[in-house]
Amino acid sequence: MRRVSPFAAAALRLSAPVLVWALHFAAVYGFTGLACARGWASAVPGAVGAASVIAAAAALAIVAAGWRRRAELESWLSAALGGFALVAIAYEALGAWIVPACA
Amino acid sequence: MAVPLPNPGTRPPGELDELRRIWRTPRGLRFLTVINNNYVGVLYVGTAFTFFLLAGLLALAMRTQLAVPENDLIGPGLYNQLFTMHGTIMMFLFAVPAVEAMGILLLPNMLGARDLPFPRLSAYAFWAYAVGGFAFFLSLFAGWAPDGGWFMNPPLTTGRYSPGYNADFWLLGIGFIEISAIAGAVEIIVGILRTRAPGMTLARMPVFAWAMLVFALMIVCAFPAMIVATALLELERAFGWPFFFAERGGDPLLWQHLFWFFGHPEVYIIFLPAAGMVSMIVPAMAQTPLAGYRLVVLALVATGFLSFGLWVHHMFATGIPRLSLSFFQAASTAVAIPSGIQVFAWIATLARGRVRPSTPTLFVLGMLFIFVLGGLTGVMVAVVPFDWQAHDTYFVVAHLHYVLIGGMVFPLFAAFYYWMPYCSRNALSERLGRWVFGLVFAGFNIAFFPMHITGLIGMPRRVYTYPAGMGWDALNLVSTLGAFMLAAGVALFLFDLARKFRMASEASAGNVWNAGTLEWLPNGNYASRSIPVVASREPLWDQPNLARDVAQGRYYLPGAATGRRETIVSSALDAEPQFLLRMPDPGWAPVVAAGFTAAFFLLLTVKLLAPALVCAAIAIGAMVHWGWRLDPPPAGDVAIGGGVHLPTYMSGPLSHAWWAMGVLMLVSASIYGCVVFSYLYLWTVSPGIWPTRVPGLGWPLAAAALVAASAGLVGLANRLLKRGRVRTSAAALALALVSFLAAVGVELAAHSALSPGESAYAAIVMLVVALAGFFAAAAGALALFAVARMLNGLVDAQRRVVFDNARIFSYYVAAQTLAGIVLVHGFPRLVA
Repeated sequence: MRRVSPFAAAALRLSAPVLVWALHFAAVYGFTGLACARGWASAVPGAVGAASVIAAAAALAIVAAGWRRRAELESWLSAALGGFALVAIAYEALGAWIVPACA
Repeated sequence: MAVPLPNPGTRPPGELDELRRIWRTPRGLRFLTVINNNYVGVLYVGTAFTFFLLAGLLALAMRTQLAVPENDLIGPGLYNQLFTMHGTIMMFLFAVPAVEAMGILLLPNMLGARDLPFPRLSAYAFWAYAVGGFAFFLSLFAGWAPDGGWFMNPPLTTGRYSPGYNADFWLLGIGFIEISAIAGAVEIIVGILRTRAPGMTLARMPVFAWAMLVFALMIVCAFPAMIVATALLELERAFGWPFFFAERGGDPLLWQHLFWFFGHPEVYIIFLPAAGMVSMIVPAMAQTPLAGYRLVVLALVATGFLSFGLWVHHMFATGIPRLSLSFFQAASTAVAIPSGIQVFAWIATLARGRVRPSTPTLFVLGMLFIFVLGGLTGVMVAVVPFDWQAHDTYFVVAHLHYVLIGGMVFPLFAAFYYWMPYCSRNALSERLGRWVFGLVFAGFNIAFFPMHITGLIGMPRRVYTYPAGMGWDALNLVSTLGAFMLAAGVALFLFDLARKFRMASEASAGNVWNAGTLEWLPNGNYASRSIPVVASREPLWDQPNLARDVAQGRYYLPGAATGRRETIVSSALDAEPQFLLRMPDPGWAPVVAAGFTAAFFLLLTVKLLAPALVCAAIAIGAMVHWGWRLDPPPAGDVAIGGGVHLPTYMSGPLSHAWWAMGVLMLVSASIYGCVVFSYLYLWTVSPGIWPTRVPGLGWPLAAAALVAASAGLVGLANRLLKRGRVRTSAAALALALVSFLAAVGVELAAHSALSPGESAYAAIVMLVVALAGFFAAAAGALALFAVARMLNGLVDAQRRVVFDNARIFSYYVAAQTLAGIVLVHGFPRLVA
């Protein structure tokens, strides 16, 4: 186990930003689809906004944690992927401000 | 930089001959049993390229038909088969296998391994694909070829509108491709993470290996969606389970979600390895390290994950709410960023170095031009309003060919020219290469650029002919001329290939490009004579005399320490040697298993159930025979040089089998995730068919208790085996299997009132139960295999890999089954 653990830690660091992005994406898309099917359109912007703020905060935390040890490739990659996830989350969330929810 | 030599002295005479003898290629008919990556890789690439040629011929037939308006050369029925087969073959039988094949061919030598960790699995994957693929192609001559487009949208492809075998050939016929791709992915992930040369940390790993790692992980996540989609549609066609039948609560859009959740990442599944090849070729051609290595790795991983957020951009015209579309529009435009990073890194590398004007360089430059154009039109069609205008027109045909041919075919040609001296006695002709490039580049642009215009002025896709006077006539004629010019370029390449390619491992032309990575070391079937210690990303540039020292056996493992095929297994992050993996010899079992796997799927397609089952039994028998001879007993520690001694046996989390099982569990989880998505999706669109009354609580509690008991018995078997009580442990494992099957039986009984043909709800619930049964059968097969070996004295407290495989998979299946019980019993109660 001793030698597997560093890999597990690195795998977790690298997959964390991916998971944050994927969970955010699944949450906003899934909720919008469900809300539009059930007539809850008014709840969509708030829910998308809240999910995006939480996901962005998580992505920022990943960036900060990875950047501290950026000399090591895995940590740098984790931070950079966190930054990328942050951009993607912000970009995807923008739609909720400018596009009507269930039109 | 100098690295101390582990074996600085002279090697004993006969050591190299012994290595050659152990790794020699079987001759005569037994050549078919070859498992060495050099040969399987070349066969794999050759077969994939053959499918490229066949699908290309279909394209030429279509272009001939479209050369003039109102042409009656090809009728609509055949034309439908042609475009469906062209897309299907190019994507499933050419593109994915071709890049996977390049990985099998190159990775071991590039990483400093003697072979991939599961060489028989590579051979199995290849033969299943080759036999099944050619049989699938022949369906065209029986008029049974699929004709519903490569995406096979229902309801067109349901039994009602496509009653013949054609759709079944697609749905079942590519089953072996899915198996083959996933088998390859397991091999590649474990190979990259665990068989790198000492010192090759992740930060020193060649970009191609990074690309192949992302590629394989994407296969693990994306192909399961395809498996679930094809299973659902085949269940609807064969048994009337109405997953896509709106009147019974199904929804045709569920297919599109599942298909494109696979289908869009598929584009990057084939592009990323090609981009990885370009990242290897460009530094060699410019004689300078790749600019922005870390950024390129970031781009590969970022493309991999973002590509899973794009699938709905293939569904912009299906009536999904606009805000939902905007999420996918955002992700679709954002994915241009990592692709852009790679393009700029290649340009920067070319600008920094002294570029050799060779054929690989030309194909890379051609790729840059074409792929960037395809990327730009990609951003255009990612924008929803533009897509609504261009959807289903030739503009999209132009876009996708610019992306796929620019992003994958041009890099593949560059790779052919670049790596030919690695595996052939001769390099390809540079003079003819320029002609090939000129014809292919000009032909491609003449064929496909006009299609942007043809599409923008309204010509729809997938029409077998068109009326004169629409403004499309001249453009179509030009496209057809271009297609034949492109074909002439490919024909010239084939001529040169026939003239120059002579398979050679030891006597290959070698490092004619003065490249810096390990695959260019002097090599044979055993890869390099000794396994180097790597201290940089381009060891051949940075470590003086590396090639000479490796060839003279001055690095690790200069001979065959255990007297058989073997490779060093190292730690995943830092590549520290951990144990010596003894690998299997060639044998017929993988070939037989593969042939009969393909036969099983094909016979099932034409509803010959009994022969199909016989084939399945033979395939499984061959697999058991194959597996029975694996897992040799521990043989102590052996010296590999430099005072390093490695164990010859490893079980538990460090073993390579454990990692392969981990990947298999990821695949299983992806399959299950897609089924859960299908369940929730159907509830979203048809809440009215969800029942208000479900089976009483006693049923799920009984099933869950039996599953938990089964997992507990597996745990008990583990403890007993640790204490050396092998037979009692085997009995506990067998009892665990019985308990698990009883749990599935309880679940079936709980839902016995449901008739899956009646509603999409009943169908999806029965699917969850059937899946639990399938996984129970798979875990049961592993458990029975382990029990049989235990009873034959082939498993003990130390030699326990087979037992561990059954154990960890059983735990996984238990957890998954419990989740399924919660879903089908808990969710209806929650929403009632």
